[in-house]
Amino acid sequence: MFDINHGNLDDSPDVGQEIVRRIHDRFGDFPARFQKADLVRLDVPQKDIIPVLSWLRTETPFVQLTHLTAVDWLEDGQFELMYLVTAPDLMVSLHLCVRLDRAKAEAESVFNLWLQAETYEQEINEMFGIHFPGSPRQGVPFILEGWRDMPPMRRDFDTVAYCDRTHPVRPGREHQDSRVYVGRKFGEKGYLK
Amino acid sequence: MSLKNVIAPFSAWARAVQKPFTVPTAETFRPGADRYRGWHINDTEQCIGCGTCSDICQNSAIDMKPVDEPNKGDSGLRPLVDYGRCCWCALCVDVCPSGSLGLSSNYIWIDRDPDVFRYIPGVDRKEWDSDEKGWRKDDGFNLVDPDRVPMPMMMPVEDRVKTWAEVVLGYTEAEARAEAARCVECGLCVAACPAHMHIPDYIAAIRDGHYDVAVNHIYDNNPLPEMCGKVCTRRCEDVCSIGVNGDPLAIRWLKRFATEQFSDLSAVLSHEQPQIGTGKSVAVIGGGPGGLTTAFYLAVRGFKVTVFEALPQVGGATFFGIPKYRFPLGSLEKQIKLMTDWGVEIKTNHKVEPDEFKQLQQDYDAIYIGTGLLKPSSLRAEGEDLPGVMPAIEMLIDHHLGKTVEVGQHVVVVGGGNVAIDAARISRRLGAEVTIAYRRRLEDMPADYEEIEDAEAEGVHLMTQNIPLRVEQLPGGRLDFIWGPAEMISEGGGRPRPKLIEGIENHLAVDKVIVAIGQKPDLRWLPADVAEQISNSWGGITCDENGMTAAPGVFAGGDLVNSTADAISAIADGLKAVDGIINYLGLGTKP
Ligand SMILES: Cc1cc2nc3c(=O)[nH]c(=O)nc-3n(C[C@H](O)[C@H](O)[C@H](O)COP(=O)(O)OP(=O)(O)OC[C@H]3O[C@@H](n4cnc5c(N)ncnc54)[C@H](O)[C@@H]3O)c2cc1C
Ligand code: SF4
Ligand code: SF4
Repeated sequence: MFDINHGNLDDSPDVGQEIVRRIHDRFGDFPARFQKADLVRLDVPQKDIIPVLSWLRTETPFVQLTHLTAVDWLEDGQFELMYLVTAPDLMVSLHLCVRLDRAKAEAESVFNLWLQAETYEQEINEMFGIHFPGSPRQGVPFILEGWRDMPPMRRDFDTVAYCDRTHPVRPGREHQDSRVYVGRKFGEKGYLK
Repeated sequence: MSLKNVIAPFSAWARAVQKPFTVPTAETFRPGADRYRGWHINDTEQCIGCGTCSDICQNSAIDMKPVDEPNKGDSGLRPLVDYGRCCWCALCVDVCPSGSLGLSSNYIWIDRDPDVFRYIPGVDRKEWDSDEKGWRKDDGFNLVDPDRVPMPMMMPVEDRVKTWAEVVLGYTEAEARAEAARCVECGLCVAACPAHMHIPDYIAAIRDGHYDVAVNHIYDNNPLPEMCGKVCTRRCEDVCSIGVNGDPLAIRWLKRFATEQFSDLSAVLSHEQPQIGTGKSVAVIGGGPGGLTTAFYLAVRGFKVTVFEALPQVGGATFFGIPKYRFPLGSLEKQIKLMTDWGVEIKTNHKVEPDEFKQLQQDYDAIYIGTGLLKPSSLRAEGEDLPGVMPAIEMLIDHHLGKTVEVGQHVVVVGGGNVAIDAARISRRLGAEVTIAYRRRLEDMPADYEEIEDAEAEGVHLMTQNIPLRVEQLPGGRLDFIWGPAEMISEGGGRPRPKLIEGIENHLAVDKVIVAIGQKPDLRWLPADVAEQISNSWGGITCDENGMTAAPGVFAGGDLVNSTADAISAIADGLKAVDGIINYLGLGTKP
């Protein structure tokens, strides 16, 4: 075989499989899914995520943070952070997914590994209310100026109610609910109730 | 108020002398990307006005506006988008069941008046209406599951023809709730159902697991819903918005599921109808679905109602016509029990004759006639009177009254409606090889498509574009069914009509020819003067919009009045007569 640490990963017939094997050997048997030929998903426990990311950044061709976003698993009481880390020379990416306790809503920053994480973390902080202690622009508005409500990408945020509150319905707007309208037009009737 | 708020106007003033932050309109138009999400477009011919776009919009940016009179399959409403609220998420496009809605790639629209930024796409013409680019729902992408939960069958098809047991098993709870969850509650089905049942409401109750609520919605305007849940012609499913690009909701099977959850209906159903009919009596002649509907909802209001039925069992054609493997007797009896429990008096084996009719007119405050179609149409081909040529309706009645019906080794059934299919499948169960001979094409058959599939699965052979020429006696008692092929010709835009290709004679040796080409009313049981007064050119009865005939106080409905001749239309006629009788007796307009 070849040594991932010496840069000849590009010889690999399947870089994705190889990197997963390395991660498994080094950190633990995390569930992995091959999403596409150039994309592998790994579900990493929260305690391991920073070591995995640091190792990828410093010792493998997976040097680029392409994207960082979050998902609200409301029913599970969890948030999920999804780091998309790419090996630009190999055009292969890893999707590293980590679940957080939704009530605590806190994760370690990767700003020290990738400067641009600052912006992603600022956005996630604003949209999901997940806190990244130490990340430079936490609490600084990203696109929501003067936002006073619950972070809007949380799934328990009621978008319609918010909209009704903040953008009052313009005069002259009238809506016909098709179910009610059709029933009325066709003389729908009850004979027991 | 914070200091910032107080000084804000002044800081705005300070900007007055600065260069403006805004930029002038782009002098050269930069087209949006191929999948840009710009202003809405809607193919209003394809749009069915279901309002799903409006329901899903998280910004309440869409109102549904009447632009046309509603018809079956189209509410006549069209979405109006308010760009004061739209965030261009395109959820409306992604959910649209008809696929009519899209976003153009155009994003520039300048006006000084903020109120113009709302319009009905496709109705209020815009220059981007024909933009091919922009956001469209991806092929195969659906927010609503387009696939119906399949209905499990009771047994493998090879065993079916050996028994009279019900063919369809019915949904499990999980299956029913999964199927119900596909509904978008647009209500188009309510328009298509002749009785205008509260379909989206009972489907929602099933989805939520509240079967008692569902059954109360269902019985609100249909007293035979378990029957309809098994055999209805389900016009509702024809217009289901999910059916435009997927399988329509299994509305019939869901109704069946809900009603089958309860063996004792009076335990879950309730009503608070004022007893406006106390002291009034109504005679119902004919215990078919129409008559039973009138009887039930009048009895609920305190009327004394008596149903006179010639046969030993009420149910009409749903008892003597529809086979038990589709609609078991136990299910009919359960529904009839609720009617008698709630006050309907039923007199079976009681055929009303002319003299008695006159007496009923004296004794009752109103009469409902629902005697259906019992006289078979004849084959109108030479040999139609030969022994062995028999009307399907008589064969079905005999069979359901427990008489022995001899079909022999091979029968040909002439016709393409439900009666033909039922006669064919019963003949299969009686052990015969069965061929159906139908004048038009398969797609023209009026029978339910699933019935046709089931018949084929049970080994019934279908011959289409087949015109019977004559029937001849063969030695040994068999019959020669002689037919010619037909070609389909379209004239004047109507549905194509079969035309005999002259000069070709085909032969099929059979034991029986079963004729199922329609039934006609038989009003000979009425006094001649009354029949004269209320009947029409085809032998049926004409009613006004209240369901009343030309004879005051005599109402009618069902197959001998309507042109659709199915159970739910008879039920709808029965409901109309309930209102009509209440009005006629001056007991108020509201039932
Ligand atoms: C074989 C067959 C299959 C069918 N399949 C379907 C189906 O799958 N789905 C569907 O929706 N519809 C189906 N139909 C049609 C449906 O059953 C009828 O449209 C419906 O039953 C009509 O109801 P009605 O109220 O007009 O009365 P009918 O059902 O026609 O009943 C009339 C009743 O009046 C009685 N009667 C007649 N004269 C007198 C008298 N003088 N005194 C007392 N009683 C009298 C008759 O015995 C009969 O019981 C089928 C019909 C047949 C024959
Ligand atoms: S969802 Fe589609 S079909 Fe339904 S009203 Fe909206 S645009 Fe029309
Ligand atoms: S694009 Fe989104 S916000 Fe705009 S009307 Fe459609 S669903 Fe509503």
